Amino acid sequence: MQVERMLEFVVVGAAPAAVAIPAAEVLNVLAERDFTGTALDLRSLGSASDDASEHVLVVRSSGAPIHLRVRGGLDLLRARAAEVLALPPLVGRVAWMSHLIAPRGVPLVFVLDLARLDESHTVGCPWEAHTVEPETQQCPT
Amino acid sequence: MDAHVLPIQLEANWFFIEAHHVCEVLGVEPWLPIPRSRAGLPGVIVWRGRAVPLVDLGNLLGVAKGAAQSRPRTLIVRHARGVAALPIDAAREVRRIPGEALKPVQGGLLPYGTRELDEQGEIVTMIDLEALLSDLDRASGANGNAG
Repeated sequence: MQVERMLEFVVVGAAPAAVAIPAAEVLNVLAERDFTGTALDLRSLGSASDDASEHVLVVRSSGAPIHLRVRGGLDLLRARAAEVLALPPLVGRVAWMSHLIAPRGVPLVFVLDLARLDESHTVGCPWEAHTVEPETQQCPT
Repeated sequence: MDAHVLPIQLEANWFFIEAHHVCEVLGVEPWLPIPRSRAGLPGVIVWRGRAVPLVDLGNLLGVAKGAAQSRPRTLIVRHARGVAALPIDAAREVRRIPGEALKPVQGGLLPYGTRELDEQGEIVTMIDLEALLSDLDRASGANGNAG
């Protein structure tokens, strides 16, 4: 019997505004306070989440790793390969997403187009690159 | 030449689209909003194992105020560059209309209107779906298959 291939994703935020990133491409997950450097600010994608925690995901690219600053809870999602659908360019170009995860045919979460982020070197990218430094972090009250 | 058309309703307005575009008429489909989407392209649905863009026809034609996602029917259409899902309020059976009964659109106030039929005083406009979806495609910067 053929075993169906499963894919794993790191999911940021809560549906319907969550975004998924292939887990195999995520090299590290850091709490925002533990990161210093430049990161693409993807926090708007998780803005609907009740969980306001912030992280920096370090993801693989053809050159230096890309740092993604995100907001919202992190989760691990396993999906059958057949449930990960390529997005038509009409949708993908607008959203900067490459795939749609749709368990049992129900659209659940978009997959970030890492290849395009890598190719663009942030030119034309809808998310700005910001320097994350200790002084940008919230002080405890 | 006779035209085979599907009458569709968006709020109080009826339109024709050429029947050869139509794949299926579904009910309300689960959909996911597209991040940073534009008004004419609010989301995506899944149809026959593929992701299909949800196109807000009412918004693009400028005739509907209601949200596309709340419409009770979803029309699946095929066009030159792929497949699209159009939320509509209702559809009737496909009709054959004699070519001479369809007149060129008067006034051109409705975008993508090509010809119209006067049905006892009510004007029903034929929509050029191919042009509408092609323009949407171009506006999105997509170069390949659109759906």
